[in-house]
Amino acid sequence: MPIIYQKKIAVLQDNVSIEEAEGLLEWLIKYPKNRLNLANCNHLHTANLQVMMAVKPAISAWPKNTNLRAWLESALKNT
Amino acid sequence: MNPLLEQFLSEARELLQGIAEKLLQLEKDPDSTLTMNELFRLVHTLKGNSGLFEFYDMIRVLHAGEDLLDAVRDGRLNFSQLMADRLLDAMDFVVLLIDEIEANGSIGINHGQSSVQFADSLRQLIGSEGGESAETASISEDNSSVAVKPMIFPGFDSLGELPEELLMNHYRHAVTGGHLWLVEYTPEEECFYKGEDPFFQIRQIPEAFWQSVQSREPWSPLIELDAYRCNLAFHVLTTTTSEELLELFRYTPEQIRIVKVPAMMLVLPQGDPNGGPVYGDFVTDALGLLQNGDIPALQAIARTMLELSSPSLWVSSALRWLLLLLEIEPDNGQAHRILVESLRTLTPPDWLTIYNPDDPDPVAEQKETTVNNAFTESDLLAFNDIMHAQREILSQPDSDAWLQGRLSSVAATLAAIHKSVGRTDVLPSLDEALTLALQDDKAAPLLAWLDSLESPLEKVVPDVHEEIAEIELPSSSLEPVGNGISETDTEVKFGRRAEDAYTGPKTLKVDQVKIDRLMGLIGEMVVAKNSLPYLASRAENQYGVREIAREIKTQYAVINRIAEEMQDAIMQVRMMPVSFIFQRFPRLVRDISRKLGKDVTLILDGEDTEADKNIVEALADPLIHIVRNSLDHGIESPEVRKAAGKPKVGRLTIRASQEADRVYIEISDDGKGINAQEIKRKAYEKGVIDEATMERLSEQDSLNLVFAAGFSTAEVISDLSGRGVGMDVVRSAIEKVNGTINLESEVGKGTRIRLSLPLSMAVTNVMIVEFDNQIFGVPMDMVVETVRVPNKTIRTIKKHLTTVLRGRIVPLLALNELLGMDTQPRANEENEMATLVVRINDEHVGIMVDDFRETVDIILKPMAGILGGLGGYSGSALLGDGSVLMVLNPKELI
Repeated sequence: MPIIYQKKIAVLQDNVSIEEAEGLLEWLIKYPKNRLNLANCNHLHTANLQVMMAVKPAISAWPKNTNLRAWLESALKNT
Repeated sequence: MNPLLEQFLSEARELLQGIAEKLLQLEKDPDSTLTMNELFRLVHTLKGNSGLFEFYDMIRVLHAGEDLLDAVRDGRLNFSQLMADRLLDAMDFVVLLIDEIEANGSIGINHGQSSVQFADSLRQLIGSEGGESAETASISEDNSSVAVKPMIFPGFDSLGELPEELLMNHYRHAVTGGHLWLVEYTPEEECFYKGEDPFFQIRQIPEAFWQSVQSREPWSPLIELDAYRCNLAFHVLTTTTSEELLELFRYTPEQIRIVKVPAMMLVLPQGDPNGGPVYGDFVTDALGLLQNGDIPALQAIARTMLELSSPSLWVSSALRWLLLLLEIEPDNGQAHRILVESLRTLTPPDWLTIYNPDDPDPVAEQKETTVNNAFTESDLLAFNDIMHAQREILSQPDSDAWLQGRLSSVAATLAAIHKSVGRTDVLPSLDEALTLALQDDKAAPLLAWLDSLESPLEKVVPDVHEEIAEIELPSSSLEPVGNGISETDTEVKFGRRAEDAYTGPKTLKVDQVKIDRLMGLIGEMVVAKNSLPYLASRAENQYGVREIAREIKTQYAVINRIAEEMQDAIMQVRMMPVSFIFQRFPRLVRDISRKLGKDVTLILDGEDTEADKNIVEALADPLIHIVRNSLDHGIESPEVRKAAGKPKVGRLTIRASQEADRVYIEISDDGKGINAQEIKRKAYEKGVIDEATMERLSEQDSLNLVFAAGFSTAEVISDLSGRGVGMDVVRSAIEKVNGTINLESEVGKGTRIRLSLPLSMAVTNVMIVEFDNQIFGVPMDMVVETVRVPNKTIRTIKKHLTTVLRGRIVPLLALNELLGMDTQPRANEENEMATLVVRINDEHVGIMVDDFRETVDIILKPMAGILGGLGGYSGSALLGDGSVLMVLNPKELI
């Protein structure tokens, strides 16, 4: 399971595939205050990335993967 | 390289040649619908062919060309000079790709961008109608806007947040000849449905040190948001090579833009902006020092300032940059000034001004450093070489059809090299000269222009630095990557023109008529050569000069050897592998067996066996017939096979081999075989044979009945076989090329058909026989033996002369009976008849003649005109002594 939806936090792990994008979007719309834990995420499909950019959820843990973190930081800070 | 690709290449060259011709024709006569249609067809074919291989770069350009021509064909557009130019350029590009494929077997990775540019330049011409061009057209837009864009890319300011040290490193790297690319990647909206993951793709860019991702359009309300419609645009700064980038994005070159970023963009001081304007004096001093060019002093005061300031201050960062700039680019005064100015205002340096066309100095200086590095001794030599080459091109005669194009290309080259060394002042006069030259269709004005230039070498060098300052470079300071193509007024010049050295294809396509002519000539040569022995014997017998006779014979041996080799060489030219016809069988067998509901594996063997083109071509139809028959009548359906204890899958083998001067083709199947009794019965029912023959026929002879005309065993006529025209047609087709066909079959085990064909039909070996003081030829391959039959052993059976030879009854026929002549064959002194035993359909027949002569190799010429109807002769040939030899066709005669 690349995404584990907990009560207030969704944990994104490994490689989050395109199929998850719709679910993630619904979950974030339903619980706008919930946060994302990306610590163990290595990659997420573009669709997921743009869901996150559109919703701008709070991030509880940034990815350990520095390259991904750099990307996500630039993606979620601007615009 | 596989044969298909080879064929593609040779055809592509042919098509490209045709396209170029048609384009030139159209230029002369733009209204010719016929030429237009032809051109469209050529481009269309080429595109279709290249689709067989995955040459995307080629297909892209050709597709655009096809669309453009389609628009012209439909009357939506008018053919124009510009269109012809662009199409020719695009086709030159395709030629380049073809060359590359021929050399490496594939297209290099660095053509993607050029391919897109060419396609765009073509699509632009389609204009408003071709809406598709809009998305990619941005690449070919005016570049000066591109130069400014990086700075206003959303999120670009975040670059300043990178560690100063990192930026400095990259800056140093970029200034000292490294790369600094800005990659802009705008994936298609639909890209997710194509299995793409743009984010993954962009993360693969090596050595990226800054990245940004933005939404292209504002996000729609969350509830309506479509997660699967890509709305992102990525930007990355990287120091990797452009090749690597192009390779990475080779499938979507139209979605990325790669621009070279000036190193200066990285000079972004950062830190605490507090610290007050105490630096006013420093700024004044520094500007003064800059004015005087006193770099060491400036460095000194900058260092002092730096020591006095807290390292975390923005000012300190700016000072560190200033020092770095002074060290690496001591000549870039404008940049220093801007940096110093920004110290006064405490605002980030506004590098935009540096790229403002109104203020060209800094750019020029920046460019100057590169010119300094690049303009070496060898470049000057190259410059002179190019000038010299242009002069040579111009001095060629003015008469050919390409003159206009040649002049334009020379002018373009001249303009380009002068631009490259900064001599823009000469360009207007060059334009005038070109216009003049084109008007008069003469190269003279351009030559005069060349002469008017004072010796270019020495003059150019010192000018370089000054002249360069006058060029407006903002456009070229941020060059799009793409094989070094720089665009001027959106026109793509590929630097490849008709004048360039042309690497010809290694194979020639020659009209068969020409080869036939060669063949005929060598035939005459052989005949002429054959007259030498006659000459020798005359010299000896008639004039009694033995030495001359011997010398003639020696010479004859030499000429004979050469003529034979020559004949062999020409024969080789005509040879082609049987794979030419074999290659269609896999498909044929697959289709037919599927239709019949049978499982068949096809085994092809000896495909590279070669034979004369005519033979191979003549084989095609008979072979297809035989294969069809095997599949239809031979191989059983899977159930029947299973019941018979055979493997479910039937096997059809086609094997070609060569033995001596004959080619054998064997078609065998493991089907049900042919039942000789049944054949006999069928033949009787159809009236092919009478009852007596039916009783008498041996098994093998019955099998051969399938070759009889009008014979068919199939109960039902299908669309495959059973119409009663079949094997007899096959046999006559094979016999036409002097081949034989042989059928063996075993009930339940399978059938084997063996074709034997001559390697070549060009030379026939015939035996000469004498009759009634005339000579006749008989093909050697029919002659079994020559015997002298004593008159007393000749008996008459049922009014036919016969004799017994080697325990076998051989019917005898006199040649005069066959030819309708009055003279009877003569017996020799021992009262023996000269009898030529020939084989006709596996039966031996003796033909009585007067005498035997030698055998000769002749080039058999079929009878033409009225004589062509005479079946008894297969043709005529010229002999060495100049006499005509009529060659008999015993099969028809008897």
